[in-house]
Amino acid sequence: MPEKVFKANLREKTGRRASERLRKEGFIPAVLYGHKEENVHLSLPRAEMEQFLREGPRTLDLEYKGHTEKALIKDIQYDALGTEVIHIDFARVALYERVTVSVEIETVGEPAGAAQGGVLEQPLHEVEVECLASEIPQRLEVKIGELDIGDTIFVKDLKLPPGVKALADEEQAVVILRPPAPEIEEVVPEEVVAPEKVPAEEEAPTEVSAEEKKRGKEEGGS
Amino acid sequence: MPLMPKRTKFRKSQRGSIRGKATRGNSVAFGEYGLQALEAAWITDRQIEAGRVAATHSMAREGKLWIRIFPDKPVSKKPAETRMGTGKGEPDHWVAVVKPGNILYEISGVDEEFARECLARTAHKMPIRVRFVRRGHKV
Repeated sequence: MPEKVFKANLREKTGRRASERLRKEGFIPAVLYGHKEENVHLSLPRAEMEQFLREGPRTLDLEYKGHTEKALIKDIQYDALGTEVIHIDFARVALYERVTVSVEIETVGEPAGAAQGGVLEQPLHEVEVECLASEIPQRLEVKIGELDIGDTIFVKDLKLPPGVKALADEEQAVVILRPPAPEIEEVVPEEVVAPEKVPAEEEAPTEVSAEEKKRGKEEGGS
Repeated sequence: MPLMPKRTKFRKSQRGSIRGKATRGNSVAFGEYGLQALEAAWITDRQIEAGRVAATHSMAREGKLWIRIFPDKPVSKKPAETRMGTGKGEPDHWVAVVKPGNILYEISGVDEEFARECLARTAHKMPIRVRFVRRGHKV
């Protein structure tokens, strides 16, 4: 499949202020590194890039300064709310190279044990795999249709495409169908008592009243 | 059982100020869907518990719920009708310091529509604006 070619601009100024200015202008700051070559600071058009990232790609072609390089999306930084892309790391890659990437695990179907009230739990949502840069799977599908209560699918049970090797612990659970939770009566929480709370009666009022008495006497005397 | 630490190094803490946005605990990590704070606030142990009860009641033993925040900050208060001075008040309740972006609750094992319904009930118990978020695959 031909890779999407992105026209990137070279960034002359780096640092926070320059990057913030770029973001305001509708670009995403990025960096390209790897293969023992010099790092290149780039900027990419935001709208186009975000649209492309929604498709879940792993590699792309970057065109800058008149030549094109194949790159692997190594890291994407999001803002605090997780909505806007603020920076992208690209690593130079060759299609015959073996790379390590994390791939999303997707469950397919409805577990058979769900009818008896089984609760599906997925402790592992993505798994590290090693494969050729040209053959990175988009996602790994796990069929859970035959899962009964108490059954578990482990990393070793994952059906990986040829040439793809999982790096996670083989005995790590991916999907578990747990028995339904026992019915527990809701207990009304007790009044929150702070530790070592001193009762209010022991506080200042006695002192205050003594003062007031004094003041009252003085006022009465004068 | 109220949500509070088992033991603390100091009984009272200074108020502090909530600055900036959350840089940690701002993505759905355990479940499939989550409730994300859009404002900064102190969320009390009672509010957290009320949110949990609202969600678990509507979930009716389906799925799983995670509470991602914990009230570890003591808030002190002076008794009513007391004159000012004579030192700091006694610890009254506990709060979780929440910044915009923090994930408050997470839910899994249910479909999206049902998760939205459950977390909307929890959202009503929160003192701040929140929003429903989905787990996103990070590269």
